Amino acid sequence: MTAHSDLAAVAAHELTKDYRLYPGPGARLLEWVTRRPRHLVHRALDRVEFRQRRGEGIAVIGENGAGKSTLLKLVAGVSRPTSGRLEVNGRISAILELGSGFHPEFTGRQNLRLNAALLGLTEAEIRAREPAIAAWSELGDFIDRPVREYSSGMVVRLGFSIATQVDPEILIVDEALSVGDGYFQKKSMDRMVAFVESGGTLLFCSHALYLISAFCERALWLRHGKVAAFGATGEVVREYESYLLARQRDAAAPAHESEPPAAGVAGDALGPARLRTMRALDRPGERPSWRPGEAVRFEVVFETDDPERPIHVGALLESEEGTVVASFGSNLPGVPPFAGRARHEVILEIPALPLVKGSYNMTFLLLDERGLHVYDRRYLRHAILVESGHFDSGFVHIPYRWTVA
Amino acid sequence: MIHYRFLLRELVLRDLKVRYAGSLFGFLWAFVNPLWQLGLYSIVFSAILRMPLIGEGTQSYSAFLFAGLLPWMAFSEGLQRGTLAIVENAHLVKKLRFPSEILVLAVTISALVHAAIAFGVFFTLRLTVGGLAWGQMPLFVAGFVFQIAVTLGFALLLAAAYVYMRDIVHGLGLVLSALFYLTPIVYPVALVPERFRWAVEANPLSTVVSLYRAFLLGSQPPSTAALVTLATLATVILLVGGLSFRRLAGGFSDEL
Repeated sequence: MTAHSDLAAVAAHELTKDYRLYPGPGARLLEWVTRRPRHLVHRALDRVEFRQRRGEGIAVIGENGAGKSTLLKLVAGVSRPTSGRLEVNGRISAILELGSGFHPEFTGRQNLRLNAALLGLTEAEIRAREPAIAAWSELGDFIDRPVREYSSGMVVRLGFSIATQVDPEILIVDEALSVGDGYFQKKSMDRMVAFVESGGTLLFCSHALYLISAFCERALWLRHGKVAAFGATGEVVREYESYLLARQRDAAAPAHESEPPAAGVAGDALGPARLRTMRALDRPGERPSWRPGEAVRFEVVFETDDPERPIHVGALLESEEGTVVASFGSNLPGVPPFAGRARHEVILEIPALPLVKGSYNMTFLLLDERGLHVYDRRYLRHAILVESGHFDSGFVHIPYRWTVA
Repeated sequence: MIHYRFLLRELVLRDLKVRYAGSLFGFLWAFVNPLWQLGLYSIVFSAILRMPLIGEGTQSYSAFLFAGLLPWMAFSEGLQRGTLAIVENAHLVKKLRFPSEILVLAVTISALVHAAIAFGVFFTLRLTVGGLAWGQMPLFVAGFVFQIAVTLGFALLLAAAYVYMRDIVHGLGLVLSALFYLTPIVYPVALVPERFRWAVEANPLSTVVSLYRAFLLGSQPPSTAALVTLATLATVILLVGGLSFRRLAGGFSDEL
């Protein structure tokens, strides 16, 4: 046990992957006959270097086309590196595309057996795990129906259930959570957290940056096939976010394009928990305003379908450019989530506003008990307007004084 | 490979099920195809062309033809479906790590299952008639093993090449139709002129067909030279096919 504990689960040294692009079907034959290259080379990974310890979660982040999927494919062993060294120690299960190995004419159970066999399980092992895999996927009687009758969410559920229950030592997950409903997303997240906590090695690729800190101690940021940064998740994510922000600014696009400004009153969202109203107390009117140092209070009303469901509330204070200035989560160490009723009225209190001036937007969030899964989110435009009589530069008031030395 | 025994069984069963799923008569179609060919060729070559059966242990053209069709059907079906095995299962090869030659092996075996059923029926028939040459059985078994080696070797080579060169499947049809007539299936070896006899002996399939007939009909067994050629070629084909497949398999997921 201890002899192996310092052995890397995954170690990449100068890992490089080139894809050959041929202009047409004849080019390859011509190249083979004449021995003269007739292809273009696309370098998807360029001398990537990293070590993943056993039991560690590493997140792979980066923009589309940065080489994330290529890296995961190499580690999963379905593609081979062009040069460099890749060492993988442990039984791998990879979710590169959920449900891709299913045959539509066969039942979920038949597909389950074949998929598990392809992952290298023996008949006895499959027999032992089959009930648990079927149960976790919550397909009910559908498990014995042909897969062509499944919704995409059901296919995803079965695929995830198989991949995580074949006792992998190393689990590779590529963007799998972007599909499926909220309930399933939360369930899979909980499963991945449990996997890492029980000593599993996780290589996880996602665009959902708020997720990855939960499973992953370290993050690997790929840019144009190269390692842009590798280190503690928080630091790498911050670096990556500021890089993205700078790029967005360059493109002169609105920073929060993905979040269309919505009214302060929530609509008819159908999640298990829904934000109803968010409003500033003591400040009636369309654009509530404060002076620096004043107390700010927001009342948030939300409902849940199940009074037993534990809920954390969060809020993000954002500048007009979309920079998150501050966050206010109720999921602080030792603070229990809200629970025990179907309708909650809670108050966020900021005793003294340290902001100097400007207009700020707020995003309110309803989160699960870990503060990971988002049940509902609402955007409140022009939530806080700060007006100051003084002429100050910057955003915040930092206490200071000048003295004579 | 032993580790993947269960997977192989699942793949073969899946292949057999898929082929007959949704059809009304299901597995019955497995019998229709060989019987149809048997009927057609019997009419053309026996009733019309009056093929003389020289040096064969039977005067029944149907029996003669069927004994030759048995290995041919397993070979051509195994080769045709084996060639497609990797490309057809691209979704598995691209996303999961497993020895992909197992996909080729599975369809080759599934083709053998069909031939085995037909063989069983024919064998029982010959057993009741009493035309089996038991002395030839060991050689027949060896021939059967070489038949699998030849089929699998070619199938592996073509399956891997097909990933990179999609023209192969068109060429394969042409080659197979030529090979069918260049193998003594519808005519006896004795009819081949002496100066072309070497070509028959060099063709591993002719020797396999001869071994089937020697056991099932009591025909003239193939020469020792032909047997040695078969054994050598079968080994070489399987080795070349298997090694080429391994070499090319590394690029499958990038190419598919």
